[in-house]
Amino acid sequence: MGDHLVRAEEFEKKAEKKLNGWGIFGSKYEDAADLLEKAANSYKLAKSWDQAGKAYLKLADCHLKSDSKHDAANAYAEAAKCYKKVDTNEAASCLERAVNIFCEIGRLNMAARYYKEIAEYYESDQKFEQAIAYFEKAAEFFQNEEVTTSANQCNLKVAQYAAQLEQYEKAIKIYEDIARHSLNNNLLKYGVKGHLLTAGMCHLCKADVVSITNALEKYQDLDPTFTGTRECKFLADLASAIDEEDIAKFTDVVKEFDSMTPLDSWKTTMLLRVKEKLKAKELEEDDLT
Amino acid sequence: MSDVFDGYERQYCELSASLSKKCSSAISLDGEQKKQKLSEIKSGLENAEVLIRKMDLEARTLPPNLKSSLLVKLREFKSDLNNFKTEVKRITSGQLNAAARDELLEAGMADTKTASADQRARLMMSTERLGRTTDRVKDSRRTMMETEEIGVSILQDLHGQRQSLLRAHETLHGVDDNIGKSKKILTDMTRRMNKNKWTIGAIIIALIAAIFIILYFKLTK
Repeated sequence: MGDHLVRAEEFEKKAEKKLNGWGIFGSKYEDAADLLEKAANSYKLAKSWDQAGKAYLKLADCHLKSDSKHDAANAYAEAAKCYKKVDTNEAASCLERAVNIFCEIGRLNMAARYYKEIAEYYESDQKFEQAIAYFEKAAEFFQNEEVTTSANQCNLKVAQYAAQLEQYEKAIKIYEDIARHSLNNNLLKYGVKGHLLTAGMCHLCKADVVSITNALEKYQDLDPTFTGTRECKFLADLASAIDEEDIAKFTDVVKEFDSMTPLDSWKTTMLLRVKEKLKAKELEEDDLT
Repeated sequence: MSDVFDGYERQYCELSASLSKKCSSAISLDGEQKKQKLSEIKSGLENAEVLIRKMDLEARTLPPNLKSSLLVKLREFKSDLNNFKTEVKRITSGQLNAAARDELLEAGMADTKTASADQRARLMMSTERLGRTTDRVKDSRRTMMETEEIGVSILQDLHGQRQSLLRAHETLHGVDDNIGKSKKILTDMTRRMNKNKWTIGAIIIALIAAIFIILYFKLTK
């Protein structure tokens, strides 16, 4: 490991010398770039991620000066990979620079992918507002490039975190749009009931019985097969439990559904919120009496 | 489950039903008719024993997961057969002074008690079996739901891959067009190169000729 570190420093010194010296026909940047790439690789082998990231940033500068924008963007992306191990904010800013270059040279597909990656960095850091912003940008870019699958994946993430941050309207709109889009596709139409279930759960979180009932009717019009599904029955039963303000019934309905299809953490969180609201209502009524 | 075993089981059930009928009718008969009935019952019991032996052999040849459930059934059948045997013994011994014996031991009541106990046991067994079946159905349903979820996610992945393939296809078309253009450009370049070669050659020859002409005129003067 120490050996790799020494070699990396040597390569970096040589690169510095090249950059400070005289270059014939501007070839000094290309030579320096080769040396910096070797230095960065050696730093990676030595697991010195911070220095590897710095080396890649210098490499990106060299590529920009020699007008190789694509290579510069790739160098920024590599720097981000290195910084990811030590500082996600720095990694995100490197990827942001890479995205800007890709947008300049018209590689929107790559830009979208890196926006998604930035969003995932923020997601792993539990910074959901920023994650939402970048997932939205990624979805927009994917949509422009007509990569609908990836766009839908990003939109689903946006909806998931929007619902967690209690932006239910936004989440509902996304889930319904995706369901509507999926209905026209033979491969995606079987996932529609899942999207409608999540949208319905967002309606439940708003604790407005009228809106839930209307939504269910709308979903049944949207997809006639939804009427006979367990998901539809589940939502209808939950709605009636909320309407009757019956916590025991609510719990039984959830238990029954969970015994067949185990609920994931997101659904559990949403249903817990609904239950808490029901309990709060019950307590209010007790206080009044 | 084994079809052979099922066949034996069906035969045994039919035989068991007819034996229970014969036993109940034999109690009310007297003399020669009773003897005839008893001999029929005994031959029926022998047949039942043979069937049970066959079922036992068949069950032991099956894989362990099926074997265990079938052996439980067999145990039930064997206990059923033993009940029939004791019943037959009771009927046979009851030929002597049956009326007095009945009066003394209140056999009628004992019969009804035995019958009701049998029925209760059978009912319990049926309920248990029904419960097990319900659990099995629930498990199957759960598995089906999981399978459906997996199917949906696979379809979504397939859709994504389809899009990737279509994009790759478009890109390849683009590459193909570019290669076509490149070929045309290279052909043009080759043609121009050859043209330039010939032109330079001609110029060189012309210059050499001019030099020779000049030298000739210089030397001849």
